[in-house]
Amino acid sequence: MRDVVITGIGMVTPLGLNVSQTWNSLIEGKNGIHRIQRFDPAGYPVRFAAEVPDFALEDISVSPLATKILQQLKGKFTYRAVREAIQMSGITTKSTRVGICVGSEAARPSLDHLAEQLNVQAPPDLDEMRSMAPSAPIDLIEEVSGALGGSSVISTACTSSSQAVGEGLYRIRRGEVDAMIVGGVDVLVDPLMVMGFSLLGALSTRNEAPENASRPFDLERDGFVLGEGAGFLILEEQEMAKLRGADILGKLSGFGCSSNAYRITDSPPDGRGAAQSMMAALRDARLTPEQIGYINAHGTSTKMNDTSETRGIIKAIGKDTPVSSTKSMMGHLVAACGAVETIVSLQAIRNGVLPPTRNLESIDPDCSLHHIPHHAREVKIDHAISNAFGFGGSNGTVVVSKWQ
Amino acid sequence: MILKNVRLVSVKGLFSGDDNFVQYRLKKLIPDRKSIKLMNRTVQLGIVAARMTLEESDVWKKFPPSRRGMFVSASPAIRGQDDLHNALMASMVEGKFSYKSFAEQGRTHIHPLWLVRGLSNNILGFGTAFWDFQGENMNYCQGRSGGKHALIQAAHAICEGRLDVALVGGADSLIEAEEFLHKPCAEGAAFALLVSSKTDLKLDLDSIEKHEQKLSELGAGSWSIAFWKAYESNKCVLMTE
Repeated sequence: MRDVVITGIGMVTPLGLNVSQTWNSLIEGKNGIHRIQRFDPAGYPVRFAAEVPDFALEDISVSPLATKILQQLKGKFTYRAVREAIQMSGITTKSTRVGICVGSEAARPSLDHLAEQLNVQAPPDLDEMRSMAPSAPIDLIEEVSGALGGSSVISTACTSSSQAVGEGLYRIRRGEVDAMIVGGVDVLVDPLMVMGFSLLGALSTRNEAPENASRPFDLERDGFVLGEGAGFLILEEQEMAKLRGADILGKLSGFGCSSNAYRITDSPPDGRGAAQSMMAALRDARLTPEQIGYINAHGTSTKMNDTSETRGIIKAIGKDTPVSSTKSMMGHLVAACGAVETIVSLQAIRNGVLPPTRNLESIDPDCSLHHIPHHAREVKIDHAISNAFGFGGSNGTVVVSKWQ
Repeated sequence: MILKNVRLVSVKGLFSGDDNFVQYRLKKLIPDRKSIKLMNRTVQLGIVAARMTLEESDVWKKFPPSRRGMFVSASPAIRGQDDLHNALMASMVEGKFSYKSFAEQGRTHIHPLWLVRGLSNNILGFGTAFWDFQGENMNYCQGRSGGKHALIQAAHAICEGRLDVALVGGADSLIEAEEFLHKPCAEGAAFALLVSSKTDLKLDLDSIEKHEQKLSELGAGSWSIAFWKAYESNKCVLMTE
């Protein structure tokens, strides 16, 4: 079997516009959650979120479609994170041996624009629709990277980009391609999503103290916090990467995936689906639970997810492995969270530092695990896992390992 | 194309261009009637096609749920969001949209489960729950190419030993999109059931492509429906020793 390594990573998150900014903020336990700035949230049930700081892209010469995609936040985030990953890797992506897999959901037009269209019963603008389709990031990445090894778009809500990483791993292993650009992107901080998730009762409503709102595994948690961003990785077949003298950041050891087969928005209380996903990932990586040194939990800060995930972790890994949820600092990046948190897990291995769970004041007895509250912990580890569980019941677990 | 160590058990579908399409009363064929309020037209089509496929053979029941997987090609709902329309219209102040009015008046028109109804992976979510498919799964949102990609990835998952059986297909409903796509549009869904086997599966991709070219615009359901049509017309899918 061909082994797969990671040679490039790129991130745009509420805590930073690149990997080092995000990582430094995470290990300092910084908060990326504030009152919404993008629109006036007065009157909304939830008035805070984790927004990516505004930034401008340099002028780049691309096609009209790519220009339209870059006008969307999803396009901007994708471009910046992919560029960082490719530059770090130093790989030549213009090749039929380089594929792409992205976790992405549809973007949304602004509400005033949508209302105006509906008011005059104007048909949708096809170019605009294409620039907002889940596949728009692929169109952009294909153009700027020149990768021609086949592409795919996975939309399984919060599990999307975890599964994109997994598909990339499988495609390289079976020899279809030698490298993959994999990751995910999402933008949730818009009025419609804030309203939609609020109506579901899924969001924290701590409007008076946003910095304390995301508190995974805490007794007082009351829902998740919407976030946004992108995370991308360059995966390469190990021998090819060595041959070209790449700086190898770590090994992508395994991936596991399962379905709750339960309910669209709920996890099975016994953590069955989560456990199956983690056990499948360990089998794939040929590792034992004792070898896992850190778990970056899905840890959304909802009552149901955190208890279900805890039971899943206990079943699959046990209670002694250090666990944290970085959503406590940067909110829930939904379709991007799997890739972003895989990168965080890789950084934990590379730096020998485990990021903390912010706001974990009083651990819920139903979420009793080996938590890392408040402060990062220096621990040298060889293997880490990252969990992602989505609406619709898909679960994904990625295993990353130290490069020897 | 040869897919190793995979056998096709059944493939079924429904397509608006067929004479018998009007006979399908979709809502009566959904396994859990209570779920219908969360299903848009595309999801209903997908679930009915999946059910028809699974009813052809019960071989999938012999495998444990964790070894059953599902792979779907679907698309986000683009129309039929009446409650959102009403919410936006209720948020107009002097002919202009007001975010404040949306927060105060518009939101009362939005169903609490509006967001869940719009999930692009609802065929996968409902399908896995109805038939207890707990294994590997994927939902591709990449338009016409999704069905072919889903079938190939499902076959790999079986061949590589992660699954014993996979339900794979695609669905879309583009009837209402005809007015702005300016071409004939259709709706439908098709699913296939694959199981692990000592034999290989040979796909005649040219034949499937020819059938796809004959179909009206079917978006994410396109390739899966062409696959079903090709199989029905000339058994383009062959088992090889």
